[in-house]
Amino acid sequence: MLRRRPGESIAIGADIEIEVMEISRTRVKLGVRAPREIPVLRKETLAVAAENRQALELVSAFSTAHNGPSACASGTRGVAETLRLLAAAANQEKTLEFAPAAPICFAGDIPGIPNEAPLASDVSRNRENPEPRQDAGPLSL
Amino acid sequence: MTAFECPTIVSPTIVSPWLGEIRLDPECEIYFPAGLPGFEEERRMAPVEIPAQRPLLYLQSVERARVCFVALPVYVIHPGFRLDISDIPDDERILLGLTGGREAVIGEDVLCVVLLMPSRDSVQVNLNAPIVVNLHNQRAAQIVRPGATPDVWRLSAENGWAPLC
Repeated sequence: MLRRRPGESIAIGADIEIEVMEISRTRVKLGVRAPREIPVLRKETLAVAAENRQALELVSAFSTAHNGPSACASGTRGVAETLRLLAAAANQEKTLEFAPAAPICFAGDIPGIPNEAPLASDVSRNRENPEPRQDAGPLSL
Repeated sequence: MTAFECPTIVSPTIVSPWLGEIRLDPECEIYFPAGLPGFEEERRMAPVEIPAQRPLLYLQSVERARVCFVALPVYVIHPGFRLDISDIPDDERILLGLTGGREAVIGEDVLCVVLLMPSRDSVQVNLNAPIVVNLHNQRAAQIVRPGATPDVWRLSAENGWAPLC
């Protein structure tokens, strides 16, 4: 255990320094100097970092469906079922489908969102785009 | 470069192996000043929607084409979801520029989405780790409340979206 006052630091090895910057009644403000390759995270975000790495795998599974059933038969069945469930959960009649080419820019309503809580797309449409755009591109906030 | 400077847009398009060629519009780009947990270098993301897949939303990295997440607006999963400004840790509130003292309204002030993760033959999300985008400045951060346990919801044929016990 080490006891430090504001303005004092501790060193971990030669490259990492932690400075006590400020102490209030309930909080301590710390400044960390560390090499760029060492992530400095609050501990509770570690589990989320692992979840995010898992989340990254999903898009490649979805892309397998895009490439057709021959790419990965069992994986495709799972993704197809997931898309059906996603559509059902959003109260849509049609199963979600993969577009074969570039994504399309949208500025329209997102199904399943209550009108009293408009999302970014609504805000954008009302402010700048009177009609949803038909061309390809990223979502306009 | 400080944490509050947006990098200059260099390329007008990105070729995503998942989504194809995307024309970038700086006005559409979301800027994560601190990246995402596990992806701290990913600062610039393009939100992309494929109309046939609404309400799915793709978050495509502008700098690394292979990095792309699939997300859903939180309301689609849990219409009763609430996020109070006080739930957002101070550091993230500063990064987002939500320091005015006024409550942020989902849909008017902020966009709130969660990342989909694979879960056996379906997908799941953690509602205690939403990505919040400040619609007034397009800064974003993934919010993880101190001490909060994961609030995992899974999509199933029987129950639709339901919390995992």
